[in-house]
Amino acid sequence: MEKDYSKYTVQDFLFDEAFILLAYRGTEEKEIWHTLLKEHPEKTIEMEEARRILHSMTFAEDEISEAQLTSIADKVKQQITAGEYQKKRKNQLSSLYKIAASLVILAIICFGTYRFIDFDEETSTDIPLAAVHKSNPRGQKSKVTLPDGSKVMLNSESKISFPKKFDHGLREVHLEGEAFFEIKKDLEAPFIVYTKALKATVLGTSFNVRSFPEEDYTNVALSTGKVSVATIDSSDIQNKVVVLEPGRQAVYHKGSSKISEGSFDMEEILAWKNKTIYFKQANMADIENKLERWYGVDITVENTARKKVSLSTTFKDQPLSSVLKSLAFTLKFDYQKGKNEVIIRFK
Amino acid sequence: MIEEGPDHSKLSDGQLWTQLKANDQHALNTIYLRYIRSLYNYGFKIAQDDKLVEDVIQDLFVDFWEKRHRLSDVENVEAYLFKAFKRRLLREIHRLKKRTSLGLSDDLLDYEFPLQPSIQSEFINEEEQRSQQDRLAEALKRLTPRQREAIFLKYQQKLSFAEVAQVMEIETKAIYKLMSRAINTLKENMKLGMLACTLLLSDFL
Repeated sequence: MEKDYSKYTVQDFLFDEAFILLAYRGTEEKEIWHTLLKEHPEKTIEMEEARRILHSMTFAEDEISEAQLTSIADKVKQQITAGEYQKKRKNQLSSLYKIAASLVILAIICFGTYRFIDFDEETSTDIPLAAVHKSNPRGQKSKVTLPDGSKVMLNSESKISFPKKFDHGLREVHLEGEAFFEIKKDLEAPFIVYTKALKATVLGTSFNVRSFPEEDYTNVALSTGKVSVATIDSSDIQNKVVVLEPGRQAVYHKGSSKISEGSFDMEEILAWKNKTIYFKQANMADIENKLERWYGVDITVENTARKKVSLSTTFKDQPLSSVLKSLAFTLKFDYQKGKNEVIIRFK
Repeated sequence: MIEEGPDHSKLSDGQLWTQLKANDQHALNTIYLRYIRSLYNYGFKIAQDDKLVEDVIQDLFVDFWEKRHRLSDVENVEAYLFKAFKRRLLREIHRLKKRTSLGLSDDLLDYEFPLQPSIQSEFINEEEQRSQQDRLAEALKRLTPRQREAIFLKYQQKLSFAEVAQVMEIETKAIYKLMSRAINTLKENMKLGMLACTLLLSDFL
């Protein structure tokens, strides 16, 4: 302290950076205070008043919530990723735009061990108040038009939320279950599908998203075009991002929190859209789940099969009764069919 | 593609800025985490609209990344951030006002900047604390928005006077003037009891 404090007014102290720092540190710097007070006993009152004023000037913070913090960070990252992708494409693959414009199919399968209700609570903070929620019960599919004119075919036992009006420059929907999207192309406004664990960003195309609660992995599969897939984990600000090439899928396992890439079976992923039930080495639990969702019935298996069930077949646009008849023959079980209920009994 | 990042939390603002310019997205992330809370707090006081503040913060950071190669060397990142953020926010507010044609004023500085005292534990008894806060709240209302903003940046955000001047885009001299008026008003209205001051002083003796 080399200044002449002897002439300082309260105001002068309040304008003195060194004094201000000292006052903020307060009791941690007792010795400096002591020295200062000893050197300028005549300024005791001024210094104390200045210190007092400084300490009274703490103001109520308008605090950002963790959810907001994460959501902004996510959007920044998405936009950055989308921007880099666009730039790259512009430079190298401008002709591919035409292809991208035609048809891009992305399939996302997303399973999680959470329940519907959890999903509701989790996402309700992220979805603006004027959100639209569309949901289908088991056994029902529907077509939904998004605010930008994009079309969505929503599978049964699935739910989609989106704002009444998309913010400029950003199109975001939240999905649980499965849906097929035909997205209006808009390179200015990336289209983002959020599921519990992953989000997929595309720049205008068509794609399939599947996100059911029963299983512990999430899957994004891309047919043509390009899409970025990122994890959504609020505890991890550096979320993982994978940019998918056509024919590749990203699989996210809940346990390991890692995304791995691989190929996928297109026919299987998009079968539902063509009213086709697709079984591929399905066990009895798979069959139960699929039929329950498809037809909106409760299925009870009274005794387990003697041999392990592994079924690979498809049913295109068939009523439950004929599917059951066929399965009963193949898998050797008896069944009773009530209104919304099926009881299966292995022989 | 973002892999697990290196730990940047110990780097100075200046180092982060340099890293950002050298394509390090983690540096951007660290700057974000370091300043998001104070930027939001500041922005909300200006705009009173959380969605708008969020959008502008988002744009700001996306822009930092996209224009990272063109970013100038910044002496003081914090002040630069606040300034860049504020400019952008005001521009956006201005644009929205024009669009809704509610605002007849062309004045970009047309915002209230409300400040409320926060609860403190320093005071000896609750009653004294409450009356102290009431007085401060009253006093703050008598300040102009610009005065409140300067007080906030200086004493809450703890910027230096030079930094406050930079953020508010006025001369440092003008900041002193603005703030001494503000402090006079605060002092007059708070009428600190000398007795209480002397009592408190005993903490240090």
